[in-house]
Amino acid sequence: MIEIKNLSFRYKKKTPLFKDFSLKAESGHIVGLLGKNGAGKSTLLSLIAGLIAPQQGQLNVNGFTPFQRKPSFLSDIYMVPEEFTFPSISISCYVKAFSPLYPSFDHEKLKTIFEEFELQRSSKLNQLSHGQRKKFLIAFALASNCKVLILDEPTNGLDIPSKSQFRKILVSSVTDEQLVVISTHQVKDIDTIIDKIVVIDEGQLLYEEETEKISQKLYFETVNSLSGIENVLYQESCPIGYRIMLPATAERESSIDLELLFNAIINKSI
Amino acid sequence: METNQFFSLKRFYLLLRNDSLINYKMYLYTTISAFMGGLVFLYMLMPKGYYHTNYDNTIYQTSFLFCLVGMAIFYGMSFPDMDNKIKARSYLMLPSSTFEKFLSQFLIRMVVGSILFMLIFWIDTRISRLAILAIYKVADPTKIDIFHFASLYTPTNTLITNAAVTFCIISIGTFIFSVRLYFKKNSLVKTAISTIAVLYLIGCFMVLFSHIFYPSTIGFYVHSNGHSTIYPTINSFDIWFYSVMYLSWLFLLPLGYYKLKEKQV
Repeated sequence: MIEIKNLSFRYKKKTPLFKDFSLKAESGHIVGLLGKNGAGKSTLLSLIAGLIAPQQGQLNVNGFTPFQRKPSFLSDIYMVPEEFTFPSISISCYVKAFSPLYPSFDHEKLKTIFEEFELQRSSKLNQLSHGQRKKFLIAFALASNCKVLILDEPTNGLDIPSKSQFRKILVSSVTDEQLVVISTHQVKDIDTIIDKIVVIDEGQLLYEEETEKISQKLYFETVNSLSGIENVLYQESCPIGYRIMLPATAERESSIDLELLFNAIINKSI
Repeated sequence: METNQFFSLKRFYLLLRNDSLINYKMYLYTTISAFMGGLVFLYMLMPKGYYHTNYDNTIYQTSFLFCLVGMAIFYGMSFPDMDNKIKARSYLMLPSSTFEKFLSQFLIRMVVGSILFMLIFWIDTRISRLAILAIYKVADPTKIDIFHFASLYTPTNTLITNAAVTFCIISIGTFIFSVRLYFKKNSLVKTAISTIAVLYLIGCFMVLFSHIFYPSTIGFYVHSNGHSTIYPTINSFDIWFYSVMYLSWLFLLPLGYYKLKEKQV
């Protein structure tokens, strides 16, 4: 569980990035952390991971203060960063070196995910493509069974089949005891797997809602023309007409158009 | 529970295992390079061809200084992941305590590293001596002394002075080991520069204080003849000097630990 209360953070010699920021995310959810470039997504993830310390406020992850970096905290949190490097060793050597440090590591799960991702244990990590290395890191993260998984741009560098595999594996791997936070710009890649949306901008929490409730409140549709349609909350033109967001009614429900919702939130239309 | 958060033998073992599995090639290459480099260096420095006089253990002292430089470089390369922001993030997120991370590097770099470098130096001295005796067909092997670590110390010095020299080396080593954590990029170069700068500054302060408290001091000279004799062979200057030599490493190690604990990336 992540609990943030009145958090303030600023980088040295820069204007405050977060001021009085509060957020709560409970286990059993896959949270989509969305925001524009420079919104503070990666900083927030670093704060949650204990890599940087907030200047003010409370930050609690699984009952720990992250920046204290206690072993019990670190063994239950895994971060897949956007950028990463590996030592020049094989996958099996990496697993041998790092997996014992995670008490809940599941080797059977790793084997299954490796098969899904078509990864070979004998492969040298530095000889793999960026996408394959990312798949390995995601596989390791999921097999670690950490209570908090932080995925920063997990689909960057993945090809189309791999993105689909990623979604399938993530949904089937995550348990009710786990909390997954996914930060991404590529909202379409995760729109079917997240069950909570958090949108931040300039260090402020703009929107926080569970997808189930969004579906009850909002209706998304693509139409040829806007004529005769009332109560349009937000619209965007597209090649075949318009993508629109309307208030939901009892009779109609739709899947969430995450990109449209995000743009609506950023443009303060809802 | 709190103790377990600070140090666990199992976690410490896993951390050492992790380090050895990741860096074994680097350690292997370092050992081979130190062995080969030391051998070539010793062979070049040792007297060759004219054996009209005996060569005692002093011939090894210059070479040992270079062994110390090698050790200093090895200490300066501690926490190899901290030079790179991406690697540093992964390292800091490794499930072990800051103390275990610090201790593992101290053990690998300073304890095992020092023993290894000295062992390599000892082996190199033997091999290079035997090589010279064989190549130059020296009839009397006693012409070149066998190296002993005890011969690195000046026999006329007291035990306290010789121990102070040892602790001085340890203190400089811990300075290099700990200060390295204060730099984000090119830490080895910056550590080397800061080590020289600090040593030079200490010298400058000593000269400055000599000029202030002993106005008769001339030029860049340190007035080392303390007035008050505390013990028949130790005066006040010696007390200050020995205190710095003996104790500074005790402050430098916590300084490094604190920096690692508070590191933000």
